[in-house]
Amino acid sequence: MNKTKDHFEDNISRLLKATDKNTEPPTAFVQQLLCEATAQLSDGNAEPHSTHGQSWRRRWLVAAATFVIGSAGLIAFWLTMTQPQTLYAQAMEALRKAQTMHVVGWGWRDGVKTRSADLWYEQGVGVKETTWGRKQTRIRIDNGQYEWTYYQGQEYAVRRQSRDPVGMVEEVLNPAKFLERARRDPAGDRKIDGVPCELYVGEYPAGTKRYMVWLDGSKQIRRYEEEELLEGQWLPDELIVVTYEVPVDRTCFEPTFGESVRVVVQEEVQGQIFTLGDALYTKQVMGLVFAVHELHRQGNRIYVACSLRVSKETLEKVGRDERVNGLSNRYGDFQLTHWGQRDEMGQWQSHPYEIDTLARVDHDDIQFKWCVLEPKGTWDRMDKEYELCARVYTRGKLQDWYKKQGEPWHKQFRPLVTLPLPAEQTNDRTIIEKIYAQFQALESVRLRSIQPKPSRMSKEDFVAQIQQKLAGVLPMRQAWQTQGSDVVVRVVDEQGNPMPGVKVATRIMQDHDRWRWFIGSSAGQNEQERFATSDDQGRVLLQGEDLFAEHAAQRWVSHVVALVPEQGLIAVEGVTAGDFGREVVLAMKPGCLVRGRVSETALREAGKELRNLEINVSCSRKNHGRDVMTQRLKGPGFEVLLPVGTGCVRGSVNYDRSDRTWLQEAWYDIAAGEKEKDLGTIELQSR
Amino acid sequence: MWGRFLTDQIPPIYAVVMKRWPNRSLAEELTQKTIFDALRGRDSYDPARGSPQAWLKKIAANNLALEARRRASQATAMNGSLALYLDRLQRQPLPDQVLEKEETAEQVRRALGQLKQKEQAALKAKYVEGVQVAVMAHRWQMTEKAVHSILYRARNSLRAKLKHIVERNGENVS
Repeated sequence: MNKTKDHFEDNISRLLKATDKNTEPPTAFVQQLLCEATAQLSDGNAEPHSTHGQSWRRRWLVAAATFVIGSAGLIAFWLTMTQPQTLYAQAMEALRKAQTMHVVGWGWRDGVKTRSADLWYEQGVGVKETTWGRKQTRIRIDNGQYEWTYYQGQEYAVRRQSRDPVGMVEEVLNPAKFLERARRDPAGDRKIDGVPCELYVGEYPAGTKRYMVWLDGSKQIRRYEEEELLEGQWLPDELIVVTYEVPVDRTCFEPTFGESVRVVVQEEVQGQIFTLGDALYTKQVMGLVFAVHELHRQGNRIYVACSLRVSKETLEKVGRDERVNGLSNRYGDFQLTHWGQRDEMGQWQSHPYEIDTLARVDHDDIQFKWCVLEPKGTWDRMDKEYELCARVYTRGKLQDWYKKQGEPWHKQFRPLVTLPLPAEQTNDRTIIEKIYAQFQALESVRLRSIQPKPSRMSKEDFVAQIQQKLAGVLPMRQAWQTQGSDVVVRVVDEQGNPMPGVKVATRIMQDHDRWRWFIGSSAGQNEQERFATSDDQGRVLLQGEDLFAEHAAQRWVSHVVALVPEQGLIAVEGVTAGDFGREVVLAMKPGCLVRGRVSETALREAGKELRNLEINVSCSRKNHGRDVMTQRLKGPGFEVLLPVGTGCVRGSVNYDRSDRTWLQEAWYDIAAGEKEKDLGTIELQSR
Repeated sequence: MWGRFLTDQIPPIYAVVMKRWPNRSLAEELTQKTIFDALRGRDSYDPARGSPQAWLKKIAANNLALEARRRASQATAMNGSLALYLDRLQRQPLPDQVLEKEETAEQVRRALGQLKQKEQAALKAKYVEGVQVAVMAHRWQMTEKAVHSILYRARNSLRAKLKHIVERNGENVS
């Protein structure tokens, strides 16, 4: 299928570059260009590296081929093939006549001759290619009907429809550029396997690489040698030996890779995991098809595998969205939520779960997720049924369509469906094994957007990663029961000496000219206006409830903060479930004075009555980490002392008496020793 | 030797292009082309005919002349307004003439300024400073996928803001 090239990202890149009118070239560009130029000088590849798409593609092909065959010399020739020349045409004609062929290639790595490729070919029967790269050995078999690919050491080989039953054989013996440039050197004529052969020689690029190729009387290539000039010496770089009309053992074209290696079929794998036919439940929501594929429980913990994909009707309605740019779910995605609603008395009733995504894949407009749901309370029938709730977000063209209609482009479904829970229980290990097998299969068939990736880790690490996520949804009170619920915070100076008399809290507010200290599990709600003061040993004892709600999940992080405003010293540290029963050190260091301005013009223009403008700071790398600093503002400017590290300044403003909105976020990154920083202007926008 | 020679020569070549056509993408492309033309044809350099710098300058001048000819052949068909191309960002490369207008740069700056700080930072790092996604991910303590996700949203937001700005300027986006 022909696919039109997508220029979107390239155009965005060019537009952004258009803002830079500096006549000095960017350092990254110069470095990249020097790197490319040096590479060309060393390997003789004469292709310029252009920013245009076609050239990038060619470079990718070069890189891929280099990996496969472990040699650069011939590849430049393959890719720079020109119109057939007489000699080249003769050689190719001879190649086409060959019934069978055996090609063996060697390269030199660190001066050691190393086998790089072994190819068997029989016309009309198939090809088997074994290539030894620096990291992996790859076997490809293609019999004209199917292609099998196997990377040695893996537990599976992948079968697909045949793509190229000739493959590398033709590429290896396709040195068009060479034949175009070569000259005869009768002095080097010799017999190879008893067949008289003529030598053709050339240099490419001149003075750095030279090669010799021997053709027999039928213009069939019998031998290719390449040498590289290094420190004034011609050293062997590549050797290819070709034998024609050799007996070929046809069993080599059979896909046998070892007893323990299973063969996975790309199309089947995809069908097995994503198919709607076997789904427990499907429903059309907002032009998308939501499906529940698996549902398990262990006690009151629930495991569910769901997917969301675009429906045919939607595709017809909004058209295919070509805005790929690396993201597969171009029409929509979802997040599982929990049930909740107000009762007749206006009281909020909910069935809360701590929900985490254990594994996910985004492919071909399908989002597929395995999630775990740990209940944070008890309610009737929780062991009998599961109210599956989700927020569904439309994306791309579908989102545009909803916006045009003036309708919400995302919706909360509480519930989307109520499903009966299975009577039998499934243990964690079974679920993890299942996810591992599924994701291994999905990854084996080249689905890239997968998290976690089984190929990047051992099975044990994969299991450990999922188990860590499962532990992370458990309530904090369980950690307190086993580890205790006390955290000792030790305040020290830069030299590690205890600092007595320092105020420690979970949030500090600068209320105009007044400092206010708060301790509590969540900013603004479960917190009290108080602080703890470090003793002679610099110690402060905090209770678990000072930092977390007892039902908070163990994966959450809370923060403690200490500040000595008059000395400009500050320290912020995260506290996790693992810190209970241990000591957390707050090392007081000079902070960085971060300045900025807040512009609320847009909200005022929108007629909002603004009050209580403030900024909130989370000293956390995670998005929307817990706020540790708050500053109420008199005017548009703010100035706040922050510790070294990354974090986010965002603001809020009350308007129209009740509603609260957010400012844009401004991320900062304070390096050690940095004294001042200006975050510029942050434009307030209504949520 | 080549490394030092190129290090010295890249900035003046780049500057010459930028002065003639203030277009960073084009400047990068022509500088790159000049360097690789030189590397390919280095065997043809004859010291008797001038210094290596003069030889490289000649190659650059040839490339500038080629570019000028290319533009001359397209000039009549080209309209320099960004508004006409915003809905076609997917389908065709933006003409250089559009990118070179100060008005375009100003519109992009304004649109960029309206994005979230994180999105601004991501776009600038990736496309203006040339920082690799892996480096951004490391710097921001995120996964590469999360960075890609921010970039994806940022690109789309930038386009939406650009459209908004252009429309508010009274231009019709077809």
